[in-house]
Amino acid sequence: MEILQYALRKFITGIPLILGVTFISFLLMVYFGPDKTYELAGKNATPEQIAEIRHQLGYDRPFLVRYGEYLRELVTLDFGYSDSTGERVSHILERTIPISLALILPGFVLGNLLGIALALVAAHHRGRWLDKLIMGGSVVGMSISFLIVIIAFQIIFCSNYGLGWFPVRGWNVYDFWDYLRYVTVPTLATVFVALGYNTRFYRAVLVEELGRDHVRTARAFGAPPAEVLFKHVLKNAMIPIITRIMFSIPFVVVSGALLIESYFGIPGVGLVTYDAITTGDQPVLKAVVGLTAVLFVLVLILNDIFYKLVDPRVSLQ
Amino acid sequence: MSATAAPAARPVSESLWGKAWYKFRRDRFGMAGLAVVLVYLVIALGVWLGLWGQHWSSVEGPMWAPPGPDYWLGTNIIGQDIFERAIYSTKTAFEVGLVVAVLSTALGGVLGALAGYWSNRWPDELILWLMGVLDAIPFYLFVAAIAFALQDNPYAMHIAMIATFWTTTARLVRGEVIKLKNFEFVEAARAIGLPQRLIIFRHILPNTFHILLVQATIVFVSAIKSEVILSFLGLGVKDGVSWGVMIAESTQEVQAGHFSNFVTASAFLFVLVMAFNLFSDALQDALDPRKVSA
Amino acid sequence: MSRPLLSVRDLVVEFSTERGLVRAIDGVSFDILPGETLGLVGESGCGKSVTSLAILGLIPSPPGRIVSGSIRFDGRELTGLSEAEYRRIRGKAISMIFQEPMTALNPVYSIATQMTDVLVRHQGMTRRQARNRAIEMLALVGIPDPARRIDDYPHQMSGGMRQRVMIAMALSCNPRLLLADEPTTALDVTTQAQVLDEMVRLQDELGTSVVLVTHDLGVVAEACDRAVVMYAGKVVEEAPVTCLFEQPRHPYTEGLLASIPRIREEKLPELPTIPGTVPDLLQLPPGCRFQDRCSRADDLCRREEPALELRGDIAVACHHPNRYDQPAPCQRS
Repeated sequence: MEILQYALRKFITGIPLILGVTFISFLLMVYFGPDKTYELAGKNATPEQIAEIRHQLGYDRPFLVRYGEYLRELVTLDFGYSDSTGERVSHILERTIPISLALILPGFVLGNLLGIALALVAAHHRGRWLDKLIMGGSVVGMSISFLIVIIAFQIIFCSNYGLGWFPVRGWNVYDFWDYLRYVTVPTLATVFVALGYNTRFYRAVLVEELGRDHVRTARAFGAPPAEVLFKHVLKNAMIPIITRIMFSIPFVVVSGALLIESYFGIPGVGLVTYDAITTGDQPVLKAVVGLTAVLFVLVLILNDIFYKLVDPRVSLQ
Repeated sequence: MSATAAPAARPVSESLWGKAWYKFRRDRFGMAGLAVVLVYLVIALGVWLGLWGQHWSSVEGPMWAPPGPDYWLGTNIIGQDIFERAIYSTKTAFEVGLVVAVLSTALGGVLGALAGYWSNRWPDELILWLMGVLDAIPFYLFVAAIAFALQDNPYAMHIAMIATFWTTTARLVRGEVIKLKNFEFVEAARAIGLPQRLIIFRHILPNTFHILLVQATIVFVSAIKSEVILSFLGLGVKDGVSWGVMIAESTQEVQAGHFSNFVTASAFLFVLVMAFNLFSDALQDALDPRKVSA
Repeated sequence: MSRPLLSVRDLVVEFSTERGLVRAIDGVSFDILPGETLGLVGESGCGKSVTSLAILGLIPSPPGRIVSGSIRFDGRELTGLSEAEYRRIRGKAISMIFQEPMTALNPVYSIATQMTDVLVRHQGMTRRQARNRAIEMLALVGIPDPARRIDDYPHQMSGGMRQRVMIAMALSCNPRLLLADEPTTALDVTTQAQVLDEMVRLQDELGTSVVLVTHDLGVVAEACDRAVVMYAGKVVEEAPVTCLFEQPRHPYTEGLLASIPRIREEKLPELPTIPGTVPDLLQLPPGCRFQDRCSRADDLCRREEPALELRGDIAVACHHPNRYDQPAPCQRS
């Protein structure tokens, strides 16, 4: 009960953030954005026809009213219809979000688990060759653009010039084996790129924890290295680690999905967003931006609650 | 008798920068990275001065020529010399990287210092809110939004990058300023009646320069990496060519088995980014006040 | 003379730093008898903490290591033990407590967890047995309402109480030797006195030997039987505490004693200090390490390092130690 109240309070403080995001996006995309009148009007439209279209599109209403409508859409989750396909935006989202999640989640989870594992190895052997090898690999991983990895992996694993084991594009998933076939290469790409950044960050956190006084105390009382690492270091390190994982969720899901889906032709939120960007499909863009902002605030709240639960020093006030 | 290895000529300078330079010089990877970056810089300057890479757009070559004496790395689908394009792209990369790095770091430094100096009062709250908002907007969408708003201005990409990359710098500077604020030299400055503007800009901000320098290098790398993806999405470089544009073009070509465009652009990019990362790491280690010891 | 519990001989510990190899301690020797409290005194950087860490094999191993020398505990040589063997000793036969009670305990586990871990590991107890024993120990060190407070987290206790918890934890397996590295330095004066009293009392009751590392001569006077004075990585004087205070032999000891602020008949124009600073261990001059700060230093001092000479209970490493007409208090029969 206390937690719910706390969450509500935090959500209220997050509202200015949501307002800020939606306001700026609205300003940029809709107000300053492309004027659809002439597209719809066609050539040789009369001034009356133009005025009529403008009225339909709502361009003749005051700015704040239009912004207010956007907010209403956000709250009711009803964004109207896509400019390019005419489909209801909420349907599009319902259809595509699960696919994006199914696509990104394995890579996200694996990338972090492997990152933590490698970081544990590196931190435990810090200063020695295994540590340097892992850190060297991380720098290389961080230096390769995600796009390059995607293109290269597609060539290597999917195309006829490479191994050709996996499908080049698409998402014809009807059973679990199909799923594995379509998700493997994107997962490999995601893990490859994320691993460098993750390992470096997690190693830094672990090394910092290893230097703490209470770790020295544990050793001074005879704790074996495994216990020191897992009981004393990892639990304390989990706080910054999980914080980072949680904060990367909005970005991984939206931005990561965007590249993979557009390149592999997978019909998820990312591809829809990509199409919306290239065609200037405002309803879709408004929906995606608004929901991402809300997701970000939710993550902030969850993260705070997580802190309270894990760190006994922090109270719920 | 205590045995010590005869030490190399030790630094006389005790300042943060003097010691940092000494430390940095001894980091072989960092020096190697810096050397490579300088080579790239020379290439970029050469393009800018008109010495080479000038034929990047001429379409006189045969389609998809293999690497050879006429076209060192072959040609692309419309007969342009890949090597020339890669060389020219070096200039683009530095343009994007330097402009974004310098401006976003400067912006982040100033706003971060203001936020830190007035921490927990309204300027801080406002700047923190702004940072939160910018962090919450997905980057590619934001660039798209700016591109829309500016009606496809060729600098839309730069502006979008600067507008999003300043936040990390600002957070770091804000944290540092909050720490510095409580140091006695600030109290002393106030006590002799220095105006706040001077205290912030002449006394506190210079103590954050090491943060700004490291962040500038990190942002440089982020900028050129982001440009690749933005160009692929059609939101990047408009006139001229960049490695991102080359890679975007190459997506068609690799379907047909022609990899030279892709591999060239990727390799050029990778080497620069890797070198810069090594340089940035070494710089960070050298400037870390905890590690710079007597 | 009973056999010493701990015997350190010619211990040398080296650290590799950016500027070269440094000997943090360079030939340190001393003994501890069962049931006695030995003070290791000196200013920051003299090597006293390194000495205590070396005894338990806790020198961080890059960059430090024990180069040579011997540490015999109860007849058994400790240098050269494997990590696994050391772990059986740590917290059991030899325990250590540290300077910063605020950070020495893990903030995310309760006191109960941290204390019972040690007992389960070393005494093979069940959790329940260990918990009862831990509560006993908390009562012993003077923690009020121990059965309830054992479930507290470290941040719910004051610094003085946390240090007592550390002491309780350290003594819970009945070690023969307790290494206390500046245990009261981070506490305020009143708490300091309380914790020291507690330590002295426990030591009397349990018969544990204690090595008390400190820079504070007041602590030495209060809690120690004998003291070893260290300077720049070497032992310069060793004596029973009464002797040390009444008849300091080494000029450094003399200087330390003179610089303790105290209430005098007349006000002095300045607080007496020892002029100069501790030498850079990477650039040691030949001869005595104290030469730059000593009023008696002569050519001999600048040429030859004085060896530690033992005379009865007192040892001094100086070419020109103070000599006294009356016999030393500890040598009077």
